[in-house]
Amino acid sequence: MAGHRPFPPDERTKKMTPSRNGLVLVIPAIALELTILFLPLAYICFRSFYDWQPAGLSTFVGFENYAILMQDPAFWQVVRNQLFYMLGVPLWVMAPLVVAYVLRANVWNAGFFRMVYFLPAVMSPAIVGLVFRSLMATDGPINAALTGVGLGILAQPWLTGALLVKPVVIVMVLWAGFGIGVLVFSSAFDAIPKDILEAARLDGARFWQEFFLIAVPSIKNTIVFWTMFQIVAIFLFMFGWIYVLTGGGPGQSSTTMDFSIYQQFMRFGFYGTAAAQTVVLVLAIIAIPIIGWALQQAVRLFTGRLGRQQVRHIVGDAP
Amino acid sequence: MKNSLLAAGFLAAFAGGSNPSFAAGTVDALTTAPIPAGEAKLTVWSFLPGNYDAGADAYAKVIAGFEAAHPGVKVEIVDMPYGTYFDQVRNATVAQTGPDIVTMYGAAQAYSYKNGLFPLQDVIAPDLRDTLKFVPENHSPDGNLYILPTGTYGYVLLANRDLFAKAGVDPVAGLATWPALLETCKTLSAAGIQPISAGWKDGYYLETYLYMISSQLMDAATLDKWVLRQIDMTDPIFLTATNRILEMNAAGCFGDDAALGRNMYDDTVNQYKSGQSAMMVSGGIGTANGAAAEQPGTAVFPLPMVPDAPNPQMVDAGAEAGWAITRWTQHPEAAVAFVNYLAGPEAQSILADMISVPANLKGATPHAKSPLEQSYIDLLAIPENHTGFAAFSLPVLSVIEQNAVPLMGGTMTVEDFIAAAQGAYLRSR
Repeated sequence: MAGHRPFPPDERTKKMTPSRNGLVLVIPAIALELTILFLPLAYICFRSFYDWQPAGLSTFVGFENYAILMQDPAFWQVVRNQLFYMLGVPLWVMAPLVVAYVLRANVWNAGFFRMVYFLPAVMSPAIVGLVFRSLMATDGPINAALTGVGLGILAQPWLTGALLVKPVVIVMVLWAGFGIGVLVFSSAFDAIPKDILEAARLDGARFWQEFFLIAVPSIKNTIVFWTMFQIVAIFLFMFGWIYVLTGGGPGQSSTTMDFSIYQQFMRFGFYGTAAAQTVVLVLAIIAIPIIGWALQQAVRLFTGRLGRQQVRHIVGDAP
Repeated sequence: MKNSLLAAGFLAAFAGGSNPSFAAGTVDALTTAPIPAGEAKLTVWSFLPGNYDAGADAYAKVIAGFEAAHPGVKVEIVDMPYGTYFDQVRNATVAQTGPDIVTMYGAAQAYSYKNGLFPLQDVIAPDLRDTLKFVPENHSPDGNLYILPTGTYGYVLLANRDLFAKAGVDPVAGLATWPALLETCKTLSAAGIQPISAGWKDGYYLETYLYMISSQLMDAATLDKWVLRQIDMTDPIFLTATNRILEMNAAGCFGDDAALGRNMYDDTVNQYKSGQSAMMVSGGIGTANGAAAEQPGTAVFPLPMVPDAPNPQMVDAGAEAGWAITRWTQHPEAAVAFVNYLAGPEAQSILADMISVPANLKGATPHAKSPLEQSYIDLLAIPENHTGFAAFSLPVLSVIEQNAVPLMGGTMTVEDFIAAAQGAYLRSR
């Protein structure tokens, strides 16, 4: 036999047609992505090897821009800031997760609370930032209120103290993104079949056992998605908050990578190092899904083992 | 073949910008040639009209005067907010499109936008060459003059004599010398009066005091070196200036810790205007007039000279700002004519009359409308006045602004502050 044909010609045609149609459908999206995302990115990468002078004489400098970045203490301060902000991720994930779960457990007027929680998400970061900047000024209303009720010792330079500013930003971002998180997790919890939870209750599972052993593992893909989104947001979507709330200061204490790139390019005209820093940022963002995937595998392994042990424990205790 | 052409075109586009590239129809250098016949429209970006109550009217009158002298040219001035102004100019510089003329500060600050600006040293009108002031210190490190400086500003202390009287301090004696100033701060504080309004969060006031005191510590030769970047931020001048500011802080000049947290420049102006502080720094006569309208007891004083200053008396003073011509202008001759008109006696006279910005011209005699204005004008006329303001590069200013709160709050040492400024200085050099 010269060769095996798995399908007769007409069958193969039937199989091929949908994928060709699919390709036609995705071509515009691919073209758009290439044009507005990857092409500029490639250009920025190209320019990161130049002493880039838009409309001026740009000279090839190899990796000098990267070397400048690596030797710049301000850059490493920004990297440390980014890592510090990542400490907020557990809070940004756990807080909406727990609240979303609590809200589905017969809370009075849960929809109203969801709406209240969601409200900050529809407010402009610029406006919210300005409001909080005024509220948290050293002589602002928060410190005045603390002093007024005899708790002056708690009054702090919330936004102007180098040690306090990053935790404050983490709390602000939690406040702003909390509502969306609650909505995302509420939808995910609603998709869990009720009979699984009822069965767990019949087997004697308590509220937190139900939460950790049934609900959370059931929506782990949503949790991973939200976690990844939060991490990417730290790298890409903090600009508005930092710009309005702290201006990156005091010093470089709250500067994020995106804000730093903006400063390098727009304020200082250091175009080449701004391009190099952009490439570093993109590489960091590419690395995150890889790390996330590895973490997901580890969590899956851990929760799988833990779940089996706990189920054995509960079933074993049941009468 | 078609693919090769496409590839070549793509490569060319990709490599674009490796060589100087200007929009079609633009020129490589400016000349003072006559404006060609026909219609020309100039677009001007500026933050200056918005700085004054009558700013829009004043600049409209200036433009009307220019258009009357040059019937073929129309000028549209776009009043832009200061907060985002330089970002817009940066965008225009990168895109090589936008206004024909922009308001710009000189020296190191204009240098940051050099790819978008024409050197102007060869197109200054002959009658202005010998009369325009503050030209040398506005040259950029590459030797070019990217702005024609106009107007005059000078940093002085506004003092509320009523609050001084309440504390039993004679402002003339109390602001005569540096030790007297520190003593005055202590006395005012003891009387429950905040001596000087100063918000640190946006860092502008730290910059301002650094200009004022470092200018005091520079003689003419040192100023030249600073403009030419032959002096680092590690020079004793800047260390001394920073320590003098901290000395003021230690004497209570800026109030307690809570006062350090005041947000922005505007807050401090309001603090003075509402009678909650005895002094504030003012950069222009317009600001002084505004303060005096709210606090009629306002008087103008120079910042006392710090010990060991080489000049007997001076204020940190220079051009209010300047005007630059963009490299992509389609009407270079008209643009040259307009910036020279702005720097000339007719336009500067209009601005002096309508918004109290004294002319930046030798021999110009500003007309004071009040004793306050007269005393301000007298200070601006001190021959030793100068400023190193424009030679502070943008990264250095940014670092100073960002570090204002930790420095003044005591969480950053002077050495670290200077080191951070020096790092930024070296990057910009």
